[in-house]
Amino acid sequence: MDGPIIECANLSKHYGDVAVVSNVSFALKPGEIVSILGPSGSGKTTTLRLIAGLETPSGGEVSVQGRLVSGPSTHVPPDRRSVGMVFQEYALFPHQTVAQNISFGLRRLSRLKQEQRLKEVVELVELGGLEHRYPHELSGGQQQRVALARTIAPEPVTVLLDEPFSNLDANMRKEMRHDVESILRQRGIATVFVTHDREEAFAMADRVGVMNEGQLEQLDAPEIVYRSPSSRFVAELVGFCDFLGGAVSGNLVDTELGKLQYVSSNGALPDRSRVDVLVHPDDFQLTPHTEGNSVIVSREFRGDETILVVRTPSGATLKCRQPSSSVLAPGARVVLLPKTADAFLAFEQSDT
Amino acid sequence: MYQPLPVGARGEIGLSSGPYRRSTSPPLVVLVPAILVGLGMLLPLAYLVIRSAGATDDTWDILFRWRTAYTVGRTALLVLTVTASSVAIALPLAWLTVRTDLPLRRMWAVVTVLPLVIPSFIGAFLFVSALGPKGILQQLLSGPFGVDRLPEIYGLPGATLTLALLTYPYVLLTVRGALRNLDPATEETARSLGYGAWSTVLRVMLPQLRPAIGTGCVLVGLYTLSDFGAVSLMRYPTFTWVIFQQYETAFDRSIAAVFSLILVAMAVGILFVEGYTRGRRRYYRTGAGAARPARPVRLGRWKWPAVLLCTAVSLMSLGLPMAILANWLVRGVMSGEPLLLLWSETWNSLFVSGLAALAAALFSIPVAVLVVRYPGMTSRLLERVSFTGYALPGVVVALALVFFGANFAPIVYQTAWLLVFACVVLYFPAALGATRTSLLQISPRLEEAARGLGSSPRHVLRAITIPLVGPGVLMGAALVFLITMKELPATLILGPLGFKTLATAVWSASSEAFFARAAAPALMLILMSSVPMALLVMRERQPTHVGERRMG
Repeated sequence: MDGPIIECANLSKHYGDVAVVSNVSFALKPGEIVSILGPSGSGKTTTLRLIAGLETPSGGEVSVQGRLVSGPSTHVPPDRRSVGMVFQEYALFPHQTVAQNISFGLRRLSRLKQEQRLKEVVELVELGGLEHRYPHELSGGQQQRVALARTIAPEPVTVLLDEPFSNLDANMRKEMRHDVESILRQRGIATVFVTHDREEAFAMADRVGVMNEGQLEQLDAPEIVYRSPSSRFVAELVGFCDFLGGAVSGNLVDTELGKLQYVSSNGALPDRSRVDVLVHPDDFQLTPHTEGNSVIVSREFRGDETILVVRTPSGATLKCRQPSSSVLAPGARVVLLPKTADAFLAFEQSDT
Repeated sequence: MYQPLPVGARGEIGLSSGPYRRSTSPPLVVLVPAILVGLGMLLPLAYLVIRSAGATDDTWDILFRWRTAYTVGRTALLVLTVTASSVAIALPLAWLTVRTDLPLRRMWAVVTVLPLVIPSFIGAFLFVSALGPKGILQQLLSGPFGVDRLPEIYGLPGATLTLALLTYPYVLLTVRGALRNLDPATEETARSLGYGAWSTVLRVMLPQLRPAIGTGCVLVGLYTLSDFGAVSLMRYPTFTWVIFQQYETAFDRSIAAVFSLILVAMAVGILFVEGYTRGRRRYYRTGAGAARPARPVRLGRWKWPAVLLCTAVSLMSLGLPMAILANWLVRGVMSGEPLLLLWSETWNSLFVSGLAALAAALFSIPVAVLVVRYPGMTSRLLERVSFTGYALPGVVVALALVFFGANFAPIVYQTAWLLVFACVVLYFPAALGATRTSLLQISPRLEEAARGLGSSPRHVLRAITIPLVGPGVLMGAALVFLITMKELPATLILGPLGFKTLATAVWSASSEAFFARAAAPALMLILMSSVPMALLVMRERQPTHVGERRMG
């Protein structure tokens, strides 16, 4: 089947007057991994729960493999959806061993099949030898693996991961991310995962969705989301970026750092409209100059690079990436020049 | 025990309070039994309303007599003195047994809650014989010192003394539970902000313990309100006693019903006051990370005064009663009193308590699931209704069931089954509280994960929920067993003719002043109550965190 694995159409969820999810629509293709990125309270988790059938939508529809599972008069209960979910806190059954946890969803299979599947999945997630441990006897990473194994054992058509790595420490997180991704890819399992970690969202996913106040603002390949965010909100969330104020003048934006080419999602903007131009740390060339109009205010050495924060004459601050060999120090005067002639993305200032 | 209170939030742990409210409706396996429980709970209230509606104007006039107001005043006064004394006893003991290097701390932790196994009527009876006119103390003092008058024990002082010494463990247990869960970091923060040891206790610790103290006070207050044995023996007539007298002597049952309404109103008043003072603050820890266990406070030169306090309280509440009972038993046997075989009384007590515990525990599961997992109008209503047992004194429930039994269910009338039912109605809140607390600690994500893995609601209940709340349910059952063992007025009213339990055996022997004859059943009763008590105390000592607990 080549149709979408999951399809959400205008999915909405209200609690009283509060819209937690509004009009979210997207389709998950077979084998695809989609991440949903958003600040806490943006409705990411609720979206997953709507797909899993743990919540009933206030409006819109969810289909799994073309079958309507949530709709105006349809609610297929979570146990009949074949949608696997891994919870943020893993939700391992504390009274069951690793093996019992993993076999939980297999109870309709024959004993022989159960054992085969258990063995296979345990191997896949590299938990061999831990089958008889109880969840509290495992490390965080192992618990995470059990949760994943338990979810994929019944071979659901799709897997939903809710902030899967947020309970792990930083080193473990990276490692688990690779492992989980390779398992999902190896199995070709279509996956939606929710995170508030930008790096995680970019590293694992084929497409990144950005949610804000219940709405899916953008859903695109990671490079596109990064380079051409559809809104200022998306830009701020996904990018290590800054904004530079300016006014449109013809087909350029006049800023304190010179006239820049621009593009905007609304096409050409009227003259003199105030805009904010999106600036990435690599966009400007930084040259020391005793009469430069900008000043370095701080310096963050990161090992493989150095991030300098520069204050422009108007008081705006911009981050600039420099090689780690850079010796520029706070207090130095510099001149900023755009590195490329490429157009900068401009957003209209909303309140003018 | 930690019996849990009705209305409103109890210092519950925030695990399940995520932003997700399940909007799906509860499955029938949960809904049907839960509604049955609700209907059962409503029976006594329905009776009161029907009866009072049938009351004549003359009966209503009783409400406005001075004597009625006087009884209300006496009852309220007793509730106040007992509650205040209990808190005064329990707070230092709780702190000493949880947070200090008190010598033999573990032992004191167990010993100080044991008075719970002594029924109030036995306690009162023993205090009278020890401290009353011509009692043991006076006999001791009259020889060498020629003291022939002791301060009057009957009345308010005696009733307060008895009830406070036997009910302070309710406050002790709730406060101790809270004290254990209290994050010592809040106190350390206060110290680092320049608060001294005392002001830290007053400004940081006590305010955080307030809900637990409140919960304990409500338990003590309601216990006092519904107590029958102690107030009768101490000759301090409160409402319970007046109602019982009305029932025994007056032909017109509607007077008893109207009085019962006043009693229920007072109970609701106590709950209301507690809910009101609690306010809207939340007391559980916000934020992640496990609380570190607190470093015990070194008592230093206060060590021995502290031991003295524990010893004194335990001697008064436990040592003295047990010594007197043992003494009587020995004297009775020596003076040729036949050591009566108590098989039928023991069996009856076991039967009623065991069945009530089993039924209350079983039914607490669907109700707790509904209340915790499916918040909404129905479940809120059901929760309130389920806790009515708290506000209904035994006398009142018994009266209601006599009426229903005689009129609508002659098959169960005058059988032990009706008595079991009464005890379930009375003590269901204890079971529900334990089960609910236990369920609140289980993340709903566990059940959702099971649903996602293809389990029907029924299978989730069987494979996940019930095994996980099991220990809590067992604790509720132990609690109901313990309280039912001590139950007196409902057994006196509802017990079939000739049906004797250990409690009624003690009661009839003591009201006829056959001290020696009361000793054996009393000791037996205390012994039997000690089994569930031991279970409760053991559980208390190992606070568990579901999610990390191994149960296999």
